[in-house]
Amino acid sequence: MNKEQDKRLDDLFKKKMEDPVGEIRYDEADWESMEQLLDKGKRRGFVYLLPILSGIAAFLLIMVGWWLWKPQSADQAVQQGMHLSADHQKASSSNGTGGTKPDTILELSPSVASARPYDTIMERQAQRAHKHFDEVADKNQTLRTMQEKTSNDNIQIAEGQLPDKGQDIANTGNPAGKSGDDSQNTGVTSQQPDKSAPVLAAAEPGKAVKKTVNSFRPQYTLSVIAAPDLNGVNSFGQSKVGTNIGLTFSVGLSKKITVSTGALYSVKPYLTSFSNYNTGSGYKWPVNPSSVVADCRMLDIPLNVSYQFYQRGQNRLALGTGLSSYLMLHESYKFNYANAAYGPVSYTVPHPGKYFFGVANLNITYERQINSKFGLSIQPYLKLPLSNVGYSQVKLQTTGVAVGFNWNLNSLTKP
Amino acid sequence: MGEEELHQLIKGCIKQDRKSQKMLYKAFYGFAMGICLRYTGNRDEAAEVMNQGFFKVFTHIEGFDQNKPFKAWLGRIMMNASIDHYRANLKMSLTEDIDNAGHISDGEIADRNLSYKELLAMVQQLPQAYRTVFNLFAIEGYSHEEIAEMLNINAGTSKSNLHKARQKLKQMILQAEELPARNANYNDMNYTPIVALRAINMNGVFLNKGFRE
Repeated sequence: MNKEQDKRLDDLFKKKMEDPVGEIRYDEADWESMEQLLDKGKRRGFVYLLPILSGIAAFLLIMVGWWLWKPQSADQAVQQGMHLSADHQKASSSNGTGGTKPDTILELSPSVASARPYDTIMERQAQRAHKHFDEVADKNQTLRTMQEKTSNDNIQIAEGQLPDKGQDIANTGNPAGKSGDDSQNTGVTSQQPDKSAPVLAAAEPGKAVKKTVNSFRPQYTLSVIAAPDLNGVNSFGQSKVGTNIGLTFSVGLSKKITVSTGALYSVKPYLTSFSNYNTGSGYKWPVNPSSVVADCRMLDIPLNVSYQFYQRGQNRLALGTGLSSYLMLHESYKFNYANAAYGPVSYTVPHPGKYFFGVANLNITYERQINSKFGLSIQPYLKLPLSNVGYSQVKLQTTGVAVGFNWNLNSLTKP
Repeated sequence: MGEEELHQLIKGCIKQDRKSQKMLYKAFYGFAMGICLRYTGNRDEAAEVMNQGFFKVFTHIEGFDQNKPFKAWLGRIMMNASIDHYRANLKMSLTEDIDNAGHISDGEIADRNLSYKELLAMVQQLPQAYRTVFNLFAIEGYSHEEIAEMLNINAGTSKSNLHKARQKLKQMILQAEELPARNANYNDMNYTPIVALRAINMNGVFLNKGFRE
């Protein structure tokens, strides 16, 4: 065999075939199958994400669990504080035995308070409430010095509560004293910041929250969001299920940082004890309801920032935070009474208010791109109150999971 | 494509940015397809192998050393994808390998300028085992020992397959050289090939005294 001939043959092919520039036409169909292959590959990669995702799920569970437990204990503290204040008044006004240990009162007060209608105590105390305020305060002062640091907080709360309770007493016990209400109300209002400050401090250790929407591809994304959630006042102990639906728009400022806003129509029902319900307008309750069921419908306007901390293939994870404004559309309350007592059954707020940036959002978003245009996202979130919301001035907190369908607007200008 | 632009694209691909991936794909489509076409039997098969190769590129691009030439890296991936494809089709190609290359004379290969398409068509007609060895030896420049290792065959088989591949290619080149020559004749003299074929057939008829074989 002629080696030179072979060499010539090889060279002929090598020369022409090594890099056939310009001989091959690009075919878009090949890229389409390439994309399918990439998407399929990512799906396979998803399996490896499972340990990470389950870790995140566990973290979220712990977080939600902590929030469920923590605010509840604070809530109890508030209620106990209120009962404590009532008992203090009683103790000081009726027999003046101020030596009762606060710890005992704390333990007894819930049962005492529930066993005995408020008005019994209140009637007796109504006229003396203001008179004894100073005395009670003095008593508390004395007690405080005797107390451990732990019970100190409760006493402080009790102090804050006193004028408020006094107001209730006055309202109940003195139906004819309407003229005095206004002045008393101003007293209540002025006391409220005092009351809310320690309560807030106890319930929320400077925590902020957020609900983002979707954060995603850099640049522009439009998302349709639907989210079932749980709403509760101060805790999720008596939470009710609400729904949210809306549109959000996200702008990727960088590969990692996304800012989003939008509008979500939210239905937030919640149930709370009457103690959390602030009468505000000075309405006199013939009998205090035992609980309040609220039906709030609002526009939730979030403004959130999210940071994408994980990305692999089509999957992304982001942490987000921000603030929400609630624009109330409808607000009505139903009042439940113990022992078939009578009283107003419901109240619809005629002009629901607007509460700007009153709620903090915290969320974590898992996002999965279906293709270059569309994606899905799942977002567990927590909304924590920074200020009181609604006519009843409650601290409404929400947790839920938002499911979003995202449309990458950049895909309109396909490469 | 400039170095800087390429680096940007690679960066985008590392972040799994689909737009960058597409741009890189388009930029090296011709080069990659060129490799896969000569290792496979047709365009569809080539596109499939090429996409497998690009899939490896996109999923392993973090591992690419940007100080080295990207094209060489990509080319090697395409070659490996082709070899993987060859291995996957090994059972099918065994039947082809039985095919015996006809012994042809070592005639001079004319210096006629065969086009890329013509040469590609010839390579694609080769049985897969011949084609793969021919590509690796003649175009990529590997030794028989290296090829033997890559394809998990012995060096003797590699040599034999290369020989057979060359024989077949020569045959095809000679045929290709004859064919255009005949075509040229038609154009010049207004003969039709059918007439010529009939003349040959007539010879046969005469030799057989008018009886069919």
